[in-house]
Amino acid sequence: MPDTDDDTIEQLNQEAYKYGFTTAVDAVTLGRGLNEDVVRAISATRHEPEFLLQFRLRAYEIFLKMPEPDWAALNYPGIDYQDIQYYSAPKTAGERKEPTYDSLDEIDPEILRTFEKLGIPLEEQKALSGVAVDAVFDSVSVATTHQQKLFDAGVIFCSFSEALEQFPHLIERWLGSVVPTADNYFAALNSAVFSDGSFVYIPPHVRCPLELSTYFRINNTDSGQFERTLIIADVGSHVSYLEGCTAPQAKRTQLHAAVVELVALDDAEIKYSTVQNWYAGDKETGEGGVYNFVTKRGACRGKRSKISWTQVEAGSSITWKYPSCVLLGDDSVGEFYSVALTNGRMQADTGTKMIHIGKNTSSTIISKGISCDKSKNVYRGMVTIHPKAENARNYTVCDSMLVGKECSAHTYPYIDVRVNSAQLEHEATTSRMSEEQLLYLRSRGLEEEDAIAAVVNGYAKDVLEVLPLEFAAEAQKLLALKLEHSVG
Amino acid sequence: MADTLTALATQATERLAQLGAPDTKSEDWRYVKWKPAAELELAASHAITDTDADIVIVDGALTSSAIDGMRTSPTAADCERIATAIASGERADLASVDATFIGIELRGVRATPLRIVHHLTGGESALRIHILAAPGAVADLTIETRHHGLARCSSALNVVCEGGAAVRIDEMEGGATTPETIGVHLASKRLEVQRDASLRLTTALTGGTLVRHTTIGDLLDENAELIVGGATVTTGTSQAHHLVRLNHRVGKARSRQNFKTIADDRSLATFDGIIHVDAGADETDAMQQSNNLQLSPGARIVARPQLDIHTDEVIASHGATIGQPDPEEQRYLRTRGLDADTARSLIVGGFIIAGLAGMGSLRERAQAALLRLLGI
Repeated sequence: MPDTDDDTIEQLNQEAYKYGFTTAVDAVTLGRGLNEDVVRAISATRHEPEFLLQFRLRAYEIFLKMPEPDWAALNYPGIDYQDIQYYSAPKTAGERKEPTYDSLDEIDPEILRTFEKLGIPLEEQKALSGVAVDAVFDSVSVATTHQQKLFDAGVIFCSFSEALEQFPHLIERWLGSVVPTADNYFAALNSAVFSDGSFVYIPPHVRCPLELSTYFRINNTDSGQFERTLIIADVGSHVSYLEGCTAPQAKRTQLHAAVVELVALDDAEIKYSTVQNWYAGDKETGEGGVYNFVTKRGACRGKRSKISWTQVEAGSSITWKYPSCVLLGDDSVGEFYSVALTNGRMQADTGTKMIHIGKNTSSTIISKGISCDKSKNVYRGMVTIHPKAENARNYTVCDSMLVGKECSAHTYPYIDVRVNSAQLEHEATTSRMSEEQLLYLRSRGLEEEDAIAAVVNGYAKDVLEVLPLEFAAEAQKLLALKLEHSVG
Repeated sequence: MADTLTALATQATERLAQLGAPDTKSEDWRYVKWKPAAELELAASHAITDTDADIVIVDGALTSSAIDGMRTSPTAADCERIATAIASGERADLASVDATFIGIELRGVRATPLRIVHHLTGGESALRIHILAAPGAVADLTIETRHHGLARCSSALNVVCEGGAAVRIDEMEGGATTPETIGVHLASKRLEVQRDASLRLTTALTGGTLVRHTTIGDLLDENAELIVGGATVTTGTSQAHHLVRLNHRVGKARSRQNFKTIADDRSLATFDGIIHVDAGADETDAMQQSNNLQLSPGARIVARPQLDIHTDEVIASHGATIGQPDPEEQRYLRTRGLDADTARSLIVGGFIIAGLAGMGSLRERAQAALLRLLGI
């Protein structure tokens, strides 16, 4: 039982964001600040080949020349890029200076316990579920499970560092091929300072035997996280990849600027799912939280290829994220399913881009926004049909649900068609979750949490049902939990 | 009042100089093609004799006599509205501050439509029209912009519907001879609708070197109703742009945006619309629809239907479609014995007719003008 009001408040805060703890581990850092020496030092610490150092330096040069984008409907104090630690890695159990892990024995037991607490068991004997996990802690990947089983199937699933060591030719060929360093301000920053991340290669005609997953954990509240994910699905292959993320509850904001690149060749399919639950800052004051500036893009390069993005965005104080598909291959398919929930003083400007270039391409966008309290929720989407994209099809639904008088919902779609054989449909509605709906459900015997979950699940059904089973249940609980103190 | 207007004109000129020419980096001007407008060679102005309208303007200059309820100098209330327009920074507003001013006050029930025709024969011109519908006024107006030669024009239309007024405005812009005579027209329309008042503005628009209509509407009180829409046809290498912002400032008001566009040849047509609902504007009922037909491979259509909602108790929806004449519908008509061209013409024609359904006395002429452009 809490002894004081402060204890009660603290307890409620913990309930609201149970992943807000910090793990005490010794970390190797490069100190605060960003300059060319820091970029070189990150590369040197990771023993990177020359091509990657040059890639970083080019990106840094571009970053310096680019203005920070201001077009999003977001309002946040300027980011002091010199007040961030761009590299932070826990020391290994053996006090080695270079944080590379050959086995779980070398990982600080505190880190293992951290992932246990987050519900991500890394020890193989415990990780019995059909999901292989790459666990990224601050700037480094600390463990990847089920690698042998995947390797037997020909699948490469490892940390970016390991891929760089073992498959540098694949990295050199594909890195930056979907999101060029000059793509945008935050992609340039990531390209200059990224540390670890995940690499996946699915060989031709292989259906990945396990769901692949990366779990990103920011632990050092003085650092940002700048990871890079690269997934290549070769001809006729299939992979389902899941991504989760949490961060400690801190008064300082943390910058997360990641880049995700997907490549699907002929007849390949990539299903990429995210449940984003970074710390969203104080509900009342907005203090703290993660600034989530992420560039995610998939290239359907092959004929009949397919890339599907599914996201449940429930955290971060600021979200700036537009997972996109470039539909280059004829008959290729792009999909985007999203639920974005904002509460407290969160601001989310998120959506997608579907760029139709090949013939007979099709895309589907289903976006469901939920705004509560004093938050702001923006859907921003772009569908472009290029002149040679004959017979392109797009169907877009972007709905908003508002809970309360002080939140806002915004829908900013761009539809640009340059060929006369395209068919596009776009529709959007705005609705509310009311006390009356909940009262009705509660009068039928449902607890408040279940009543909220029923309304939200019905509203977001189109998105939740395309999530992998393991994530769908978690996502439903997460949405209901986030709404619990906002409705009524 | 002359001093106030002079001060406003100075203010507007300074603001215009400060803003400079808009470029595609600005979201509101992102899809506008400036080059043809910049290279436009204007025709020389010439006299037009028109006795077929109540108010006749030629190249921004009033050529007909005053009618009942009309004035040619702004009141203090007009100046306040001009100051608001200057603050918004819309180019057409700024350029029209010291232009020919026509004020019209509508009272009671007007039995016949009030007809205004603006002839553009060439050169540069500007025009500002303020319409005030007094409480309980009921009136139909038609406003035509007829292009005879390549001209560059900025115009501002300010409409205020006071409590219980019901006003319908049919607007038509096009070439008096061929679409090639349509130069640059930047039009700014500001609409205010008060309690229990209703305003319907339907526009039949033809693309030109650069034709851009900005419509900003404010629903200021309960039971206000604002309906804007129309049909646009762009052919050749012409361009036409609609930018619409309807703001629900209080609850229990209703707005509709219903725009239909056909782009042919290598033309460009855009629709950029927003429904904005202020915090506390509960029980708002707002809908926005943009339907587009693309008839040629080289034509380009851009649609941006947007919602900006700041309260939870609203009905707000939007929809946009871009496609071609429905093959299923064409097949159906052909099974009834129509040839392919006739079937297609009927569908395209029906699309335009639906877009202009809200028009009153100008409907038939507007339909005929747009259909003629498409060879129907």
